[in-house]
Amino acid sequence: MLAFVFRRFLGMIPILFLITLAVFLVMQVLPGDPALMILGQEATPEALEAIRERLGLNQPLYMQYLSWVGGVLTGDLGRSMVDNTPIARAILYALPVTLQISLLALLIALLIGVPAGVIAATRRGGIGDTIATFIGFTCISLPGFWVAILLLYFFALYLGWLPSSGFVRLHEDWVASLRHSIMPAIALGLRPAGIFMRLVRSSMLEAMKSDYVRTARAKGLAAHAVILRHGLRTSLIPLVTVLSVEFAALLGNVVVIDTIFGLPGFGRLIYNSVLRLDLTMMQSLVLIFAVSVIVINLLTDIVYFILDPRIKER
Amino acid sequence: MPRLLRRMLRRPLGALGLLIVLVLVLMAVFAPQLAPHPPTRADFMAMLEAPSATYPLGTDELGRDVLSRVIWGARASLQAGLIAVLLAAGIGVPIGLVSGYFRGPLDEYVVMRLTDAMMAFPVIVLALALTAILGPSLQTAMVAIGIVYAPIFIRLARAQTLSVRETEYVEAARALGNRHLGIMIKHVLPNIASPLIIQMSVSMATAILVESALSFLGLGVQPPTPSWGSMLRIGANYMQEAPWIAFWPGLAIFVAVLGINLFGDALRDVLDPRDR
Repeated sequence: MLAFVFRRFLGMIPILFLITLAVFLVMQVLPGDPALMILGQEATPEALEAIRERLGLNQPLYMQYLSWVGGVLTGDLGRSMVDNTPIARAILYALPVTLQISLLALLIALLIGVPAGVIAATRRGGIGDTIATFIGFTCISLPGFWVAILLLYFFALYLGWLPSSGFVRLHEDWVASLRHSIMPAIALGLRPAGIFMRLVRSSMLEAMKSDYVRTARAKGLAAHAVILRHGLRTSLIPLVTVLSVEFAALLGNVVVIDTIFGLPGFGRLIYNSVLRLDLTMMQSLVLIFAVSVIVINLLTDIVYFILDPRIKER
Repeated sequence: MPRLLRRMLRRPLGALGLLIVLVLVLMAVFAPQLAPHPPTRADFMAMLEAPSATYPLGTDELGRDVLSRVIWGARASLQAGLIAVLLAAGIGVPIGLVSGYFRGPLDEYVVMRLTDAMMAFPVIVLALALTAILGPSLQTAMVAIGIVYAPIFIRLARAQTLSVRETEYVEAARALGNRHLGIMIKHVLPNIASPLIIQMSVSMATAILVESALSFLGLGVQPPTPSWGSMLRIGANYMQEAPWIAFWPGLAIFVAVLGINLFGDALRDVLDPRDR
C-alpha cells in the first residue's frame, strides 16, 4: 500500500514539472509588455525600467522560471501584477467558497445520479429505462450557465426566496451560507448527475450479467438485495474514477457560475486575471488548478486501490 | 449505411437525436432563407419588445429579432463544434496511432506524460488562458477547444491501436512485408474508427457547450455576429424586463447538445454492439 502510494507520488513529479514549464512558457507568449500594462501609455522610460527591475523581467528567461518555481515550492506564489496583492492570500480567500460549492454540487449529483441509474438498470429496455436515460442526457446537455440564469430569475428575482448574488461564509452564518450556495451547486451539479446516472446504469447492467450475481440469485436472495448488495457495490469502483474527472470539470465550470452569482471564488479570480491580463496571478492560478486536479487523481488512485485490491500494478 | 440508419431509427431516442441534428444542420445552412429578419438589423422603435406576430420570440436591447438571431446562431455553434472536434481528432489520432503502433520510450515517457499534463487542466481554464493569449474570437475559441480536446483523441487512438496491433491480421500484414505506414492506414485505422467516431460526437456536444460558455464570458464570438452564448450574455442583464432574450438561445444550446448526445449514443449502440 505505502509502496503504491509512493510510486504514484513519484510519478506526479515529472507531470508537475511539465505543467510548470507549460504554464510559464504559455505566459511568455502573451502579447504586450507587462510593465507598460501596469503603468499605462504615459509612463516614463525610467519608471518602466524600474518596474521591470522590480518584477524581475530583465532577468534571462530561465532565471525567471527558476525564481517562480522556487517561490511556488516555498509557498510564495508572488504578487498580483495589477494590484500587488499577495496571490497566496487571494487563493486562500477564494478556496473555501469554491470547495463548498463544488462539494455540494457533487453531493447533489450523487443523490440524483445513483438512484436514477439503479432504476434505469433494473427496468432495462422498458419505458422506465427510456425515461431515465432521457433525463440523464437532459442533465448532461443542459448548459450550466443557462440553468443558473433561469434559477436566478425564478427563485431570486421572481419568488424572492433565495439571495441573487454574493456569498456568506459557513462560519459566519451557515444557514445564509447554504442559501447562497444552493443555486450555484444545482447549476454545477446537473451535468455530473447525468454522467453518474449513465455510468451507474451501464456498470450495473455489466454486474448483473456476472457469475456472482447469478450465484446470489440462485441462492434465493431477493432481487432488490442482489441489486443493492452486489450490483451497486461493484459499480462504485468506476464511479470513483468518474467522480474525480467530474470534480476536475466542475472546477473549470466554476468560472462561469462565479460570474453569474457574483461568488468570490476561484472562478472569479481567474476570470478577472484573464480580463486584466494579470500574468503573475494567471500563472499561479492555472498552476493551482492543474495541481488540484493531479492531487484529486492521486487520491482517486488510492481509493481505487483500497476498493479493489486486484489492482496491484499500473 | 441504410441498415445503420434503420437501426438507429428503431430507438426512439436515437430517432429524436437524428431529427434534432437534421434540423440544426438545416437551420445553419438555410439561415438566410429561414430567418424572418436580418439578424443584425437594429430597430430602435422596437427595443425589448415582447413576442408578437412580427417578432415571434421578441426583440433584444437593440430591437433585433431574437428568432432570426437564434436561427443564425446555429451557424456559429455548429461551426465551432465541428471544427474544434476535427482539429482535435486531426492532431490526436495520428499521434495516438503512431505512438501506440511503435510504443517504446517515446510513447511511454513523452507522449503519455504530455497528455497527462495537458489533461490536468480543466477545459474552460485552458481555453480561457489560450483565448487571453490569442485574443477573443470564434476562431480562437475553436482552436483553443481543439487543442484542449486533442489529448482525449491521442489517448483513445493509442489505447485502441495497442489492442489492434497484437491481432493476427496485423501480424500477417507485417509478415507479408507491408510497410508500417501502409499497415497503420489500411489495417489499424479502419479497425479503430468506430470508437473514434463515437468520441467525436460526444466531444462535439461538449465543444458546443464550451464554445457557448466562452462566448457567454465574452471570450468567444464577438458582437454583432449572432451566437447563442453571446445572446445569453446580453440576455442575462435583461432577465427582469425581457427574459426571452436569454431563454431562447439557452434552449437552443440545450436542444442542440441534447440532440448530438442522443445521436452519439444511438451511434454507439449501432457501431459498438459489445456494450449492450
